[in-house]
Amino acid sequence: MTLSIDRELVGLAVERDRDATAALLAQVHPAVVRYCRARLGRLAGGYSTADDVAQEVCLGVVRALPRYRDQGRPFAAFVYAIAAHKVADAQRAAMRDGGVVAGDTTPDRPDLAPGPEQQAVTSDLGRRLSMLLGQLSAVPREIIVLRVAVGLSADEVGAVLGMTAAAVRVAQSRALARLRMLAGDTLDEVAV
Amino acid sequence: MGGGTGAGARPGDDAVDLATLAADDRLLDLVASGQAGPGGDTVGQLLAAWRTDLEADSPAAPAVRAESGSPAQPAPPRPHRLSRLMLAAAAAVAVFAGLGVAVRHTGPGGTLWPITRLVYPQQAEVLAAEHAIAAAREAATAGRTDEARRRLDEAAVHTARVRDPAVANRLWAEIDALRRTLAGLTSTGPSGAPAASAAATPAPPAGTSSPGGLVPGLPPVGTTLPLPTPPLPSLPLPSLPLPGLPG
Repeated sequence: MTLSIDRELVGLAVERDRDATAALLAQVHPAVVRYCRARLGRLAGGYSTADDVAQEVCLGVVRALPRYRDQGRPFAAFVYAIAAHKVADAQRAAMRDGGVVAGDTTPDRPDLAPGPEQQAVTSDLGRRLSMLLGQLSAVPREIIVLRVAVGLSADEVGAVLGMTAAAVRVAQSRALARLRMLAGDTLDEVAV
Repeated sequence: MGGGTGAGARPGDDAVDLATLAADDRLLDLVASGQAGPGGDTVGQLLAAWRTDLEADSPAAPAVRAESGSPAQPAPPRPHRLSRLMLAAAAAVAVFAGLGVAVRHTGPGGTLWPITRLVYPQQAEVLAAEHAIAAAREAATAGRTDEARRRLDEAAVHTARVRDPAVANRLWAEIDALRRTLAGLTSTGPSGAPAASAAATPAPPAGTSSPGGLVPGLPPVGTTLPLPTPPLPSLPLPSLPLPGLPG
């Protein structure tokens, strides 16, 4: 699965075409939301902090657009740099404020789920995976986030992180092997 | 450290075989597209659940202060913003060319006008048509009806090349409205056709090959009509906005 962004659309948005900018944001925003939610997780039981950061990222992208020059580096890398920065800022702020709830115990109230139990199960499994991801080192974790949450291909992840696609594939396999090992150890534990 | 540094398999290390590389790559593609991993792979299932949860109750994209109220409309009823920038660039070139002053959107460092003309030829036609219509309106207001008609013919030539039917229809409507106004100024034309009958005919469809864009009932292009000599106190010009320069 790839995340392809029309270069002509980017060009029009860079030249302050409002319709093109809105269309570009509409394309990019869902992936940014998933990235921020994947990196920040559910703080205090919900995704509102992550969603706020995603909003900040999109506004930051719009503000930075005039400085974007298509010099062979994909637009996704441009967005990623802004997103990674703002997520890091949010993490620092959360640690400073002491408001981070590392692993909340109460399942969230689902709003539009197919069934409340299914939503709770999915959310719970997702939380487990999130905890496992937290035990990986930074680059392998980021690769999994970009591959699964954002939906970039191995080639695109390589372009964004400055690695070859082959190196990405090796790193992601190692990350999966580690996750499998960790999952075997923790799967039967009660969520804490 | 199972995470690795991404530097590639080193000999003697926990090297990953090619089959695993391919299988893991496929698994990640599968999960990313919203499908569950193969049964029995716990981590695949966990990743799939995690992916699903990330999309729960997704927020809407932030708005971009859209003038018309909705982010992306297929055919804006006003001059496209790119046209405004192009008009500004054209005006800037005209003003500063003689001074040799480097203008932001022109010259080797600038990108707007030359690239736009080459890469977006349709936009260039729309711009040229709007520019000619504006010039025609200005000439009509000043009483220079001959010039106004020439500008309208110019506008028609460009409009005939515009492929977008909505945009072309808008341009034809402006051209026709101006022609009717000009016809109203010349009360004794050779055909004696009143402006009312011209108003009843619909605008010609976009893409027609008639270069003059003539409205039936009006004299053919190039005919010299007696010009009105008195000033024009209350000109019933259509209240369409001129494509203004962006602030």
